[in-house]
Amino acid sequence: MTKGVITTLQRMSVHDGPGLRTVVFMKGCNMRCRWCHNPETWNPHRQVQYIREKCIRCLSCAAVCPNQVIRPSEDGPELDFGECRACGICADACCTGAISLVGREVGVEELWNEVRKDIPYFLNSGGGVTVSGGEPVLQKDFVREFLSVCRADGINTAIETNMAVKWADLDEVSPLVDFWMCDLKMSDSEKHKKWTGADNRTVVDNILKMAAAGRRMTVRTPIIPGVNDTAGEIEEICRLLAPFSGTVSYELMGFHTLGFSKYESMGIRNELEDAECLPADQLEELKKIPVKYNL
Amino acid sequence: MDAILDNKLRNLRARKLEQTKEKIQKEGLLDEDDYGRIVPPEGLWNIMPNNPDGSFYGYDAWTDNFCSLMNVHPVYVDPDDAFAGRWMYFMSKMRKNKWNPEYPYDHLKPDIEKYNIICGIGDDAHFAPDFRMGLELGWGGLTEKIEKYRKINDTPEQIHFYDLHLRAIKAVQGWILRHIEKIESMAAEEQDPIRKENLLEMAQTNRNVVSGVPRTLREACQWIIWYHLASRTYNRDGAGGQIDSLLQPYYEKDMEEGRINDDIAVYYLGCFLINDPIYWQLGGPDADGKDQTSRISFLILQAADKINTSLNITVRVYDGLNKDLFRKSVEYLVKNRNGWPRFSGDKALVEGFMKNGYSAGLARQRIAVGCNWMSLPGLEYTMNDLVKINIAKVFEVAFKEMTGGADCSTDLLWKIFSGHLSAAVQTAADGIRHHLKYQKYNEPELILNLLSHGPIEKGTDVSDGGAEYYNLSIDGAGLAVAADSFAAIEQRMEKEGKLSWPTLIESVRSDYQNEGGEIVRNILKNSSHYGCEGSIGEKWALKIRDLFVELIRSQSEGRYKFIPGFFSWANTIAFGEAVGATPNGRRAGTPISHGANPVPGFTVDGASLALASSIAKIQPAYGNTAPMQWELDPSFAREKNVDVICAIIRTHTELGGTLINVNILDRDTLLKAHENPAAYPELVVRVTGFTAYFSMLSPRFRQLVVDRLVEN
Repeated sequence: MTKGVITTLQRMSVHDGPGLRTVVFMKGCNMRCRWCHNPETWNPHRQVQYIREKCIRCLSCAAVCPNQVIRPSEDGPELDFGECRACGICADACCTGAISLVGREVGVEELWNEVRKDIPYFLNSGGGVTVSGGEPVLQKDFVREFLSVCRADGINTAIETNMAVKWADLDEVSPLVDFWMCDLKMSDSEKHKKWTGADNRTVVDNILKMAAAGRRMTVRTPIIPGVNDTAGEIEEICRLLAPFSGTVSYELMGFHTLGFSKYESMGIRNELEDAECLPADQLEELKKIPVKYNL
Repeated sequence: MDAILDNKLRNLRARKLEQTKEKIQKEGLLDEDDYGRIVPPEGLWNIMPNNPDGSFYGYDAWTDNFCSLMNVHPVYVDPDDAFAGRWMYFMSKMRKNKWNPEYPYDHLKPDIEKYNIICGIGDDAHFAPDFRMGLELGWGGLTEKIEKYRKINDTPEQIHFYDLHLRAIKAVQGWILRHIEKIESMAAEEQDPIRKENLLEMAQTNRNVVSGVPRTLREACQWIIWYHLASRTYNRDGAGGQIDSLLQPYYEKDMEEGRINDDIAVYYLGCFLINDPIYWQLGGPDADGKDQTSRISFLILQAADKINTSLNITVRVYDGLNKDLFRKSVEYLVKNRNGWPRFSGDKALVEGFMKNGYSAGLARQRIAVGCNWMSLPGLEYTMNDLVKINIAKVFEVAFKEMTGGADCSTDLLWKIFSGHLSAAVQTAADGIRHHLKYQKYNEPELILNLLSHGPIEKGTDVSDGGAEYYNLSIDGAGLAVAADSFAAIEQRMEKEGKLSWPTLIESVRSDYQNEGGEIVRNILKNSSHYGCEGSIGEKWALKIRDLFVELIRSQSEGRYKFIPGFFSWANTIAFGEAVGATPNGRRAGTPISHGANPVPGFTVDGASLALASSIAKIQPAYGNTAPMQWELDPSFAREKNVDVICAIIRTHTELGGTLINVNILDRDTLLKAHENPAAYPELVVRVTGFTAYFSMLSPRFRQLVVDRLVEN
């Protein structure tokens, strides 16, 4: 059976599709959105994470590291993330869970066994399973097999994707997906490339093809202060989606900094470190625009 | 709602807050229910002891004390209120001792202390009266009933028994009559025509119910209030009933005859609910399985929303429950964030109770009328919520015994633990037997006898064979501490070999203060927890559950059926103080886990669903509860998520859950209120099965609520 690499499961999500859902976060992404609140999902391989707040400075990790990439200091261990081979010996020695491994290889059956315990909640709430990431379609074979199992048990399925993948791959997964959540982060391709590392031509093409195929879909734009927080940006995307207003809905999501602590814990530089959250009233104002387009 | 009536309810609510403030100022803090009680005038009444120990015992003394108090009990009339009366005296708590020294239980005391058992000997009430009987008979009818059976059961002892009950009724009637005089004099002086009219109607209502049978909604509510206030005064009895069904005929008749409209009904119901936060049930099946939801069920919720005090309303969830009532009740929970209503699970309660040999029809009538408990109104004596075994303490005794010997293993620990749990259960059950044998000589249930089926008919106290059924409750507390301790040992020592026995023993003995103790504590604390499905912790919790259930059930004999539950009430702090450090990384003296709940912080993700599934699975399943104490994240508990909250509640009950107590508390508000409780007089928390004003809790109890929220 195909194996997939995931970071975690999130139970009881109410933000990733209808009802109560379990979200499976796949590891590995082909974009590097600077505001991403899941940077631990970028790298497709296993990594070490260090959460300073959980650490009691016992330095057991430094003592066992076979590669000497953990240096003891008064403030606790200092990890050289670049040199770490993610062998996991330090995580095993850590008594508080401050150091842990992110990234777990799972088989479909193993994953399903973890997810299925919430089936009664899915059924009573109209919820189900959402595969997210990272970019889940990069692991399309695993995702397809997993969604087939969900479907066989009558569980509602959804995918959150950046759409920057081959149409053929999307098309392959598509019959197993009840609901699509697709990001279109900005309308201008150059700007898109600057902020996410990839241009948006494939994204737009795939969204339009998906919409034309009549797939139930929500397109989402994270509103980032100073990047895409203008009415003009939103209007442009609305015009693109308006012809599909029956099947496609459009949702704006406010930028927040809740995931920023993960950057430090993964040893990743956070380019938006000092950014402020989007003011609620500004978001509310922008949310009026899609309504005009029946989206 | 009519502006005048709305304003009256606002006034009553403001008055209620003032009364609570006064209670805190004069009487200090109280880690209990609000009870609706107000402060009595100083020096008006005190108990009349009949024993050199300064307490009073037996039929005569209880009757003398009660009647003496009723004769002088202050009257309480508020011109904004539809009803007269408030209670003021904790008569039963004013005694120095609660058990008659002529019936000692010294033989049980060593094990009671050893296992930290709350034995319940001498405790009272905690079963339900049948309010329907009271409404059908009135005080006059109850008097006639007693007189009828006085002629049938005519031994001198029985005649005396009846005479004392007649005295008690007369004393209550005298109290009502003094209220009528007061209301009439206030009406005569009242200049405001609306208030005057209200007072005149209040006087007539009371004249009608002083002996007669209630015939209107207002009279029915007032009758229930009088009975309840008398019973509260007598021994704090706070049991309610199926309030929508009880009041439905009066509401419908009043509407039919044009006496009231819905605004007036909501006003009456608001006044009724503010009188005392009694445990009422709404919705759920009747004996035949038909849903009891009616128009008045919605009006009761509406009235509750208007007053929004420390209410204890439970909605009975089952397949046939009116969907709109269920959704509305969750809307109010989310809107007010005041811990009401709670939700009970009909399926598991009925199926569980039937396993005791009862019919489905009877099981459906066993409703949520107390803190964590169900009862058959008027039909059973239960000792619900009165007898508790500290399972964490039992574990500690076993752990100490094993570690004092040469061999150590979870197998051996389990064997020793099983023996001690068996001894603890035996002690608790023997305590109940002792109580049943002598309680009538200690504290007869003079008031609850009146609305029970049997005591009057047989001429004997409800505790002494008068009741139809004896379903006796023993609850376990601290389950998660014991289960996680077993799990931590199995995982860290036997499976992983991370710790040695000497290290563990020394760390636990020194309360983790030894060198390296904090590392050991964290290793243990971060081990497998009960609450995570399929975990080692869950395996141990289920094993303890199975043993506990078997031991309790094996105590049943003849009419006495013993029923297990998991509940700690407000005892988590005191129980914790009695237990040293435990191998789950818990420090000495800190609170034990709450009821059937996992330890706070047992999982980082999806805690609500893990909690709901685990507690549904851990149920003892014989008709008593193991409540799910649910600290619901305020960012989740919003109007837009009402349907998914409904889904979680429904799923929990379908999976086997029996009762859900919910708190929705904002962390910042709670922290500020903890620092300055007086500034947050309206903040209500569901401490366990009961709600309480946060400002009435002692600092250490407030801390417990804060810790529970923060760690979850």
